[in-house]
Amino acid sequence: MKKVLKIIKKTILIILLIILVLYIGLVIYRIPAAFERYDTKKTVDDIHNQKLKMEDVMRKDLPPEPDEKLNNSTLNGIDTNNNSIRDDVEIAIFKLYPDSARIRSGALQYAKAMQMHFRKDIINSETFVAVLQEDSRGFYCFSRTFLSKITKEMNKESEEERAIREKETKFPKNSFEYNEYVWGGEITKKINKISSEEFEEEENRRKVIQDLVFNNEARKNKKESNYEKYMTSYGDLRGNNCDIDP
Amino acid sequence: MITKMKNKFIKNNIIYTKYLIGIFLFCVFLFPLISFAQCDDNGVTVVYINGIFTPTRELANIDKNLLSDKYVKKFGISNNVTFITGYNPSHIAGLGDLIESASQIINHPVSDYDFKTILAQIHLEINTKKIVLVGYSQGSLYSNEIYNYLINNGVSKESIAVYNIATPASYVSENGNYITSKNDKVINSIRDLAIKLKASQPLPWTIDIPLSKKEEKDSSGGHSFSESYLAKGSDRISADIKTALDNIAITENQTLPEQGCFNLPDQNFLFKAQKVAFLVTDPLANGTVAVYEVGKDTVVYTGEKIVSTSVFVVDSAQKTAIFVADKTQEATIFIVDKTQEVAITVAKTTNKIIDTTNIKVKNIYNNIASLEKPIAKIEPNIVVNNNVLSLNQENKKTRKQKNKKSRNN
Repeated sequence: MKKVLKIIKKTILIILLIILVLYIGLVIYRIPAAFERYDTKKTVDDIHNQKLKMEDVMRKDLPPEPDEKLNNSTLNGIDTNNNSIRDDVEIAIFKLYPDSARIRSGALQYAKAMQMHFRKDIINSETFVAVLQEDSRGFYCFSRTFLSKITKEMNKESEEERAIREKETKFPKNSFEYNEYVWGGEITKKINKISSEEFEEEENRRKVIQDLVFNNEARKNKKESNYEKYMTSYGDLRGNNCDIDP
Repeated sequence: MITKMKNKFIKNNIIYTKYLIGIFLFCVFLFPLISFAQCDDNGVTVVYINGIFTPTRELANIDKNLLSDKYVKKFGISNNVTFITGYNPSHIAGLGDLIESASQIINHPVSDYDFKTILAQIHLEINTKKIVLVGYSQGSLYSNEIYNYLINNGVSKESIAVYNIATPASYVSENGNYITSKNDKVINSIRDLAIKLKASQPLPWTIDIPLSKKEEKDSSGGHSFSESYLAKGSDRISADIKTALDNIAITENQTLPEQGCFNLPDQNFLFKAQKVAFLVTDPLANGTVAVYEVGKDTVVYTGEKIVSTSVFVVDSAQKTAIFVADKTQEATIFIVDKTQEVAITVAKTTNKIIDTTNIKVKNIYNNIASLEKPIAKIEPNIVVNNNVLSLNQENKKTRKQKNKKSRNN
């Protein structure tokens, strides 16, 4: 009986030892991945902590115009004041919006976020998503500095107008005729017209900043390569989109 | 003495065993755990699923931003509404997507790889019970499929809605709302073809978005998410999404899955095999050129930028299909044979034409040749672009030169 117990104990001991050895092996094997996860977390935090400061928007002493060749010889270019916005982009944005600190702050934040595409530590989808989330924040923030001619009152009036027309129409719901009637009111049409015009205006405004940041093939390629390698589904960050409240 | 040593050994053994059991339990409890966010009663997640004719991956991201931005501008900032991308990737430089969407249109998807991938990715992002799926173009075929999956896997029917934009499908899940322009050339091409084939037609148009001069010249004019639908119909799209969002509610008896807001689909062997295959073929297909001869026409499939489709041609038995797409500088073709195997020939381009053939393609030519009538007349809006023509001429030239040389020899 004692012998049997001894054998059972020994067997359990051996099994546990094997499991322990396997586990230690697994831990050793996972060390690089754990380090990568740690690095990823550090990078993601760093990306989200890069905020635009008031002094970047209100700066009186702009950096000197950089040497074009030198500036374009690396992806990050020249950034003498270390605010993560390339000097040539910063100067151009100040020239574009000299009188409006509000628009300038949106444009600078958008540029700063796009500049993150050149970071060397974008090594996986997690780090890339962090860049995209900041990119989207910059996009929304810059967009919110655009003053639309469509007022809240107009929106309210058009909704009321549509509600009345919805009750009036006898066309089947979702049919072309139904929609033409419901959306054919004067206020709604007016809003649509303004909205279309403003859409183009805003697109052009954004494109100017995008072209400033991605001003050569190497920079465009880097951005495309990031998308190619790491693009995945992701969600916007909740909370305020502007680093500086416009 | 011996008994003392024996006792000591047994005592030590018990201690070791205890240690080992302790370490074992420690290890077990320290195994990495994946944490999932709670599925929140408050808030709504709007999932935007892009289409295959989204020319770049970047645009899928920008489109989501634009959609969210337009919504916020109309209804104000709400921390309760989160926009996410349900990223629908391109495969084999767009060829895989065309095949997939064609098969989805006839309700027989050839693969559920992207469907499962989108679900796996949004599983990590969705943390609200209320969900609105917004599908654009081919993305709307996925939004329909995803809706059907979700309501059977943890999401209640009352808490989810679908809204589709420029949809090639003949329905929206659960009679959801949609928007399709009267002047959307891509959807109209599909509609024409569906009429010819007596197949299910895409849903009727619901808006008249005028074409810009640029769009008039473009064979896929009126289909772009940002340039057409959002630029000229954003007010209506935002209002429709808001209505969808207002009409959904949480049910009290909703049973939640153990992790996240819905159950993940199985990722079986086939899924994993496809993942590996796409890892190889996707980069290979970029920057490549393949040349096919279809009857008298030479069609060139060039690299990654597939932006539009001009024609879908399917034979009467619906077993062989040719899809041709072109837009200013690009043209593409892919062919599906009777066994639904995809014939893709890829060759690296060095600015010279490369004749590419493979057995499968030849088989398909035979299939096409054996059809009694031409599969369909290629529509006049197929303009083989200058690049292709020059390649074609160059090809003939090289052949002539070769022939001349061989004759001289």
